[in-house]
Amino acid sequence: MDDDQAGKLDARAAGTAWLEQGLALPALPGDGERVAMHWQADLALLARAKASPAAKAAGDFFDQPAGRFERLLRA
Amino acid sequence: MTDQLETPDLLDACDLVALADHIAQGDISAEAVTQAALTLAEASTPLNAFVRIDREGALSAARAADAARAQNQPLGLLHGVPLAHKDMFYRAGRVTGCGSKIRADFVADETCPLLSSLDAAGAIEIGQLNMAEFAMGPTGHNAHLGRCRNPWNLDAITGGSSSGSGAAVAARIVAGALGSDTGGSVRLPSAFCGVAGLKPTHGLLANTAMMPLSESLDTAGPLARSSRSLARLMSVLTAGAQDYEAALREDLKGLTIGLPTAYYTEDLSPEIAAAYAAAADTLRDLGARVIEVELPDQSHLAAMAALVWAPEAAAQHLDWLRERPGDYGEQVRNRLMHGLAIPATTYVQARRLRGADLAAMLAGPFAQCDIIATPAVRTITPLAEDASAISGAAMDKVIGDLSALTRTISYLGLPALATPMGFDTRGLPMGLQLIGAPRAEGTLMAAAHAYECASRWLDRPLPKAY
Repeated sequence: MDDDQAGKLDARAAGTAWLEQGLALPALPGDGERVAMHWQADLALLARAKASPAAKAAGDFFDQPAGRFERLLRA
Repeated sequence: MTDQLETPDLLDACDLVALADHIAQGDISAEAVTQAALTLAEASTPLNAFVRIDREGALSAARAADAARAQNQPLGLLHGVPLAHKDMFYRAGRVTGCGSKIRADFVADETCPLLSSLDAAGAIEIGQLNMAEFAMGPTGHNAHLGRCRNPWNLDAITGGSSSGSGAAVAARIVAGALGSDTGGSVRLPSAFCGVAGLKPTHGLLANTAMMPLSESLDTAGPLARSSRSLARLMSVLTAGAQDYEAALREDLKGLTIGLPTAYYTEDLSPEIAAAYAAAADTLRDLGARVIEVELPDQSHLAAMAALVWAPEAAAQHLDWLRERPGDYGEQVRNRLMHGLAIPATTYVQARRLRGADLAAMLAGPFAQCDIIATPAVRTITPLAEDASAISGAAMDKVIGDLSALTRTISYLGLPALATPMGFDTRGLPMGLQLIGAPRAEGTLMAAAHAYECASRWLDRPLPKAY
């Protein structure tokens, strides 16, 4: 087994464990891989969004008010 | 009063406003119109647009409407007009199946306020319409109920998730329908079926007693044969808070319409690009100042929309995923898996980033223009066999491509309207999307009405496809 295959097995096991132990859900075939695939992809997408010009212009994420969207939409 | 529909059939020839006017003036009875709509609905099996038809209830309501008119009682704006709605709006004592196996026998104990508003305005509900399972799916496929078919070409997709709403209105069976839109589910069936559809500003319409999918993005929205019909429906749905019909106009003088320089105008199929350019010319001819407008980076918005809706949907479905995992269609379950994989921290950050993105839109493009015009979809309407992937990267690509220009707007909470901007070489409709600032529904419907009057795309005769 090469490193790539071993990595995929680890990811599948982690995804399956998240579903079965973290969420008490039955994991069907393929679910573990799907969850693990999304973990990495979604973190990359979020990092990209936080680096967008709009997010940068809004300042430090820590200080961005959570209710800003609602106020802008309903003002 | 006429008891038989004249030729050309009024349901075919009239939009909702014209039909309501004919009924109000006594040109035709509500019962005759309802009978005709029921006959068309019952004959529409090849479309698979209806999941339930309420012949007795509809005819009873129509007779009551005629009796009210005969007694000179005040008539509502939709008096006697037959409608049907996506099978996710609750009515007390009635099954609302949500396109699913899991809720196939669910009987609500309360009535959606939107249905109550339509009832109070005199509308006649003739049935409930097919939809994607739990409103998850932009194509019109449904693993349990079978796919809904496009009246312009039965081999083509209707779009979803309000698939039956698009098909039933396009087939001239009903004058209007409610759908819901979380990432494009009103606008996509409107675009693919060649009707007008409005996704209102998030939160404008009540969202109680209707199936939830994603509370941060969900909104009900009407589909109809014209934007002036949408205006009438919205006046009713907002309980008269605004008279949207009064704001309709036949020119666009004084309006500035922005054409994005990126994202929404990238990777368009040639026929879509040509129709979009022609639509821009029409908007200009109507007196609008049409300008190119640079939008803040939109490329991350569709992904952020997924990071918001998917965990919200998964949370909604958690108990059934535990107890009835085998009762979901494969595609829907796979999409819910994505929601289960998103940590709460990621979800909260994606949701909070909306403030910055909306602020950038309001301070940038919407400081320069009243409306942003884009295609509703980048590609021409796919055939069903080309959009049927239920898992993996192929599924993600189909869903991502179809909703690329609509999900972004859902994430931002903005109102958007879809209306036809032409027909491709196969005779299938192509959709224009008009996007407004928060609560600019009136401006969108007024502009779309003027465009529809000039372009006449909504007048195109429907081929006999079944």
